[in-house]
Amino acid sequence: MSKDLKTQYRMLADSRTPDLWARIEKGLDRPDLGRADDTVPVRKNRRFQYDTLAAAAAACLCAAIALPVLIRGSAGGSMDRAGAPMALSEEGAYSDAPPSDASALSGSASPADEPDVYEESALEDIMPASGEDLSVTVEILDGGRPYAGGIIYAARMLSDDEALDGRKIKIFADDGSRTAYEAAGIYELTLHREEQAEDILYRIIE
Amino acid sequence: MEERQFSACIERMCSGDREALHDIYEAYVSYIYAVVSRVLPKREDAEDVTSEFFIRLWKISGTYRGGGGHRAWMAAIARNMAIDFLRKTKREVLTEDFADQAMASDAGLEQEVIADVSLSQALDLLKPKEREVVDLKIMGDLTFREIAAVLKIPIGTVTWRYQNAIRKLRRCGYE
Repeated sequence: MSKDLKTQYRMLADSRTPDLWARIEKGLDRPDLGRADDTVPVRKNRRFQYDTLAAAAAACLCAAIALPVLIRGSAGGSMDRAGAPMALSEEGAYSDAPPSDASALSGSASPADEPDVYEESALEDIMPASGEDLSVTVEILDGGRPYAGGIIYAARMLSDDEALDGRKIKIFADDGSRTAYEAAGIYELTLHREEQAEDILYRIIE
Repeated sequence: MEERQFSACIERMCSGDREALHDIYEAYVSYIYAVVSRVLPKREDAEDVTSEFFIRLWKISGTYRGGGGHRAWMAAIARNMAIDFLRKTKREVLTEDFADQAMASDAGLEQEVIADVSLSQALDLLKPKEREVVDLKIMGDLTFREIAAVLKIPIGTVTWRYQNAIRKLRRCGYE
């Protein structure tokens, strides 16, 4: 028993198709028929507004991420100012009491003295854990700023590894460094990662 | 509707004859509705887009250039409108998921011959993508090459999907 597919298929499709001619005719009389936007009007209030939900969720997420950072930054800044007022007076005042150990690096300067904000957080998973050394090629991005008994530079990593290439980091050269690092200069360095309270620095050890 | 008749209708539409649009509507509303329904399974959405398709056809009739196969031309426009609608409403129709479900139901059917089922039941055995090809082939009388162009997929994929679909329908007694 063979059934005629084509005939029955078309009959089935016809039976399932609603009569839309009245709607179409009404649409032909629509005053906006000549408009440039040809998209189909979406029925309002018929479905959930996912756009609104997504925007609200994104705003909440941003707030959840940014607020703790802002609060910590503000609290840390106050503590820094209270603990080391000399450090804020002017450049060069850092040398009054240069801490020699790395643990003092973050506690003596306010956030305003730090280089521009870099995305250290992106490095968390790809750089050696604290205490390990890393040999990298970096391009120095600025002229450096005095910082806790040395100079802190903004730098960009140059690497074949896509995960590392282009990452911006802060590197620290203490006063004993024999090399004067110049902006736009490219250097092969061995860096020692040091996690400070809220910061990650890479101390040049070679 | 032959190509020549369609072109004549388009000419009449250009001169403001709504009856010409109605002729095209009568000939193709089921076809367009089927094409749109494959992208927009929800009935209301498919009705909206199908209606808008014919309104748009009226509006763009002056841009039609004959000779390229009006059924494929209409199917491409209708399908693009349905996809635009889908994007606009930000709703995802996970056809892949449906495909997986259909695949699971394939297992028991591999060699089974089901003689006494309605066409509607038989079509439920098809994956959405197979159904899309069958719609264009049977309702639109398109060639495999035209279907490939409308769906933007390789012609080999079209024929493979069609053969799979026909095999399943054949097991249900439809030739």
